[in-house]
Amino acid sequence: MIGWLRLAALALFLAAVPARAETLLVTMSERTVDITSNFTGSSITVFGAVRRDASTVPRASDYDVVVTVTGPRADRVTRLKDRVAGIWINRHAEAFEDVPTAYTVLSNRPIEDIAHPALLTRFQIGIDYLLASSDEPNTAGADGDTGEAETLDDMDTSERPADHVFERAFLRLQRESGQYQEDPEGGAVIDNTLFRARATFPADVPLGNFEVRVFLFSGGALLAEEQVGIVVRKTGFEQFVFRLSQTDPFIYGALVILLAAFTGWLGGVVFRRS
Amino acid sequence: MQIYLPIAELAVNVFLILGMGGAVGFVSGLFGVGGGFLLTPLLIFSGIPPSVAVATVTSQVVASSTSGVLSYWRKGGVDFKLAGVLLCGGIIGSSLGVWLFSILRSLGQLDLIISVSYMVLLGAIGSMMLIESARAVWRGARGGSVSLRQPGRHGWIHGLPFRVGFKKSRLYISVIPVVLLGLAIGFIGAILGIGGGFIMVPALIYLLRVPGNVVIGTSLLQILVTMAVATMLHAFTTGSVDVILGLILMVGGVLGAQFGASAGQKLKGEQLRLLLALLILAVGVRFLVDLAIEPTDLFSVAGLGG
Repeated sequence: MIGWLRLAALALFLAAVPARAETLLVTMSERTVDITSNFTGSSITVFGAVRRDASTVPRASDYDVVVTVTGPRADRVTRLKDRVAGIWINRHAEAFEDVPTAYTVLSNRPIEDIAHPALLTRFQIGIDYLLASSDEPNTAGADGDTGEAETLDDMDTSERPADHVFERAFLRLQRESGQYQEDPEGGAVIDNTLFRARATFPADVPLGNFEVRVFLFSGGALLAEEQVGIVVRKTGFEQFVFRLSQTDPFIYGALVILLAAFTGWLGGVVFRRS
Repeated sequence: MQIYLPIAELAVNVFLILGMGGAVGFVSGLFGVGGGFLLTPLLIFSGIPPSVAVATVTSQVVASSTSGVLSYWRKGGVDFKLAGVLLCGGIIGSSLGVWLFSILRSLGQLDLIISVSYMVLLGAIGSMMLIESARAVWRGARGGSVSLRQPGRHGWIHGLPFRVGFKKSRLYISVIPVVLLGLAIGFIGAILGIGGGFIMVPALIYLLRVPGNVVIGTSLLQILVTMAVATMLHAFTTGSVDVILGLILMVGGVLGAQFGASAGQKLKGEQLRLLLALLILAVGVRFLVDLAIEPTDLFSVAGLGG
């Protein structure tokens, strides 16, 4: 009786998942990035395996793995300077709401070779596809835009520049500052079953919850996706100082002033004798 | 050696910051000014966010002026009553300054205001001091005596109402210009992260005709309290006072100031003022150049709050 039920349950289960695709096993060298006084940046290795079973269909091409690490989201403003009365001031601005403060893409080869830009846009894989909204498939950047600087030089400064100018500038500045990183060799697939990728965090990494997403592709199709969270946080003294400055600004301010007065007094005393 | 700053949220080289604090401390000991007008731009040029630089330098000024006030106090060179009246204006001024600071930060024009204000302020003060000290040096070279205090001459300031006696400074003047002077310096100080000693000292000498032996001590006391208040206000409104950055700057500043002070004793007063004038002008010109030359990158990214 029980045996029959088991069989029925198995049949139902198999019916619900007709063609069993690959699954991903993901783990990481660390689940937290701890910031202490000697923090100058850090890295985390993401690794795992592609799990197949008897019912997994054979693939014509090898697996590709893309790992994205997305920092906490926040609002950002991109400003453009313009010459007004002989001096350069911030004249135009565009807000980018709810964008990742940090973003890293690691893959075993260039992501444009792995999947079609439309797919990359849909899953927000790749710096160039991060801000494009999914309802209007934006392939800008994919077909090799080379004229960023040129458009700016030709731009009529009396008119407000087009939106994508700000978007490109935003992405470029984020890349230059190291907050957005793209490494088409940062990930590796070993023996078509194991993978690893190493994500680095700069010294001025934003704090908060990061999301690590692992995508498995083959022949341009997305086969599996797995997601793990990590936390970047201050620890020990740094955390204490930051928390105090936020929750008790009066005590924090008073301590800073006392420290300053003490340092000044001490300096006077030490050097008066000598 | 890199150290992580908990409020600025980035890592800096300790020795670089210590060196900056020391160099500015040397200048401040040499000329008897706070040096904030040099330290804040240096920090901004080295990548510290302007809001953190301005707020943190206010705490460093507290440290450097404390040693100064204590040593002048022992020599009887502090007029507490005059400093108190200046402070009444100073505290109102810093409150207004910190309030405007947070508004400008949200408008995205904080960097511009800081740069333009520095340029105008340093340019004006530097030129005035340069002319005055060059004349004094020239007169000194001809063998004439130089007197800053001219008791017989009374300007329009001395005709205002609400006159109060300041015994230590041997003055009987209206409180209006004193309060206004304190207010203006507190306001400028909070926005620019400077103590304002380089404005206060000439103003006390030339406008109020305070005798030379109490000028620096009184100015330092007023700066000490105004900057302590500004530190507190920054801690409350912007939360950008970085205690680690502040401590490194304080240590460097206090050390540098000792060497500066002994070097200063080897130079004549008017020569010191001439050098200081040139230094102030140089920083002002640096800001002018930055504003006038096309930046290498016209774009910038910031958080919505600054």
